Amino acid sequence: MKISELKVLVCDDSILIRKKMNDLLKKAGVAEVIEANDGMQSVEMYKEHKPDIVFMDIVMPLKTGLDALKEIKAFDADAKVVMVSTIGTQAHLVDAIKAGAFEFLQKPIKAEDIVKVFDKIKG
Amino acid sequence: MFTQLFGHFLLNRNIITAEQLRVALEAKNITKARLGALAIEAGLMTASQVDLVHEEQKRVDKRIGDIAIAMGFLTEQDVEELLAKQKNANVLLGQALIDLGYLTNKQFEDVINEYKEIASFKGDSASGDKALAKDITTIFDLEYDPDKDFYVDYILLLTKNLIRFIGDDFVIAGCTKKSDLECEYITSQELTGDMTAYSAIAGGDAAFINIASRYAVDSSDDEDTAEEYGLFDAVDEFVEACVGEFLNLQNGLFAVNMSNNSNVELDLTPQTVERSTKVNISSGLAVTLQFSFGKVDFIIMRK
Repeated sequence: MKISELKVLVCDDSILIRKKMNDLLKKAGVAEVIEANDGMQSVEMYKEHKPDIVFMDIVMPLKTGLDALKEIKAFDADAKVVMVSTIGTQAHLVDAIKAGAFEFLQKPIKAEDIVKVFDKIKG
Repeated sequence: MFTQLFGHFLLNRNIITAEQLRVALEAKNITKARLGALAIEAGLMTASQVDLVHEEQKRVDKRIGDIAIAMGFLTEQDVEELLAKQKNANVLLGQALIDLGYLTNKQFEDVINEYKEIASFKGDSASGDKALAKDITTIFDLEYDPDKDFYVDYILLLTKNLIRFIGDDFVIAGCTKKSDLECEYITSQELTGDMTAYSAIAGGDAAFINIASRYAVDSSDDEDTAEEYGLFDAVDEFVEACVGEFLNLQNGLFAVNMSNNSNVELDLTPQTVERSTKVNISSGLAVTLQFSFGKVDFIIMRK
């Protein structure tokens, strides 16, 4: 799938991070960016919009990113969810991978992180 | 880190006032260290020798370094090494205080020598994190605190992150313990898991606006985006989110350190924001930092 055709869902409770991710993704050339600001909304938005890829913060109100990831994977086993966190410990990485994360990124996210994820999608 | 600790020493000894310090911190950003202050800080010249060289410069059309060499105070190698350190942050606060007339060369010489005598961290390559930890323990009176290591590590990391992401124009101004802290704006986050703690950033309009503006720009690797943010003009949801994200970053990196160094696994809760409230510093402390734009309190309490 071409980057210019991707629909991306960004899930983060911080308006700063959502804006930054939106800017980075638009600059990378994706077709569409949609946003959710808590874990519960992330799951609802995924089911409604079926995005090609999700960037999911771990620490969020109402439902953690990890719980949202598990629900999304239960709904769609092929979902590509990239977990994003300021806590880049081995334990958090293992939890995310076990729950089916496509990739794990540590904040602050840079343009090259996005490129790395897209390269992985392209295989 | 030298500026942050040396500035605390100057305030604590009542050598300068908080307002003089704030003005000097503002000036420090555009100050260039000159040879005289660098030579005093390095212990290569005394203040009276620097004054003599300055007097001589009024008579002859020569550079300070050349005059100091001619008068036998410095060697050519000394001058070369000192000039290479001209952007040395250690001297910039002192230089700003001299330029503003708050300190004479002699007073600067006396206070910097006194400071280096009592401090563990002397701002040279020989003094590292252990020396910083020792000074932080002393400044915040943490020697007998059962959670001393936790607090010292947290404050040390916080200071480094502030220098890295917000700017180095601040000094440690004091701390609050066992009392209430009035907060105009406060963003807080809890650390949970193998241990629990409460953390927060509290301050007024100027503090939140400046931290947010600087963090939004610094955390953006995109020049267009960085320019677009500029200086925010009021505390709104976006400003609060920026300050909250800096706290989140500090706590995230602290959690990584705790996992790597102490095998302690931590999680974080979402940040919350409150206005016009009072926090009881029942344990731990609120570290007050004086920035060029005003004061900011960083609260850390074990539960």
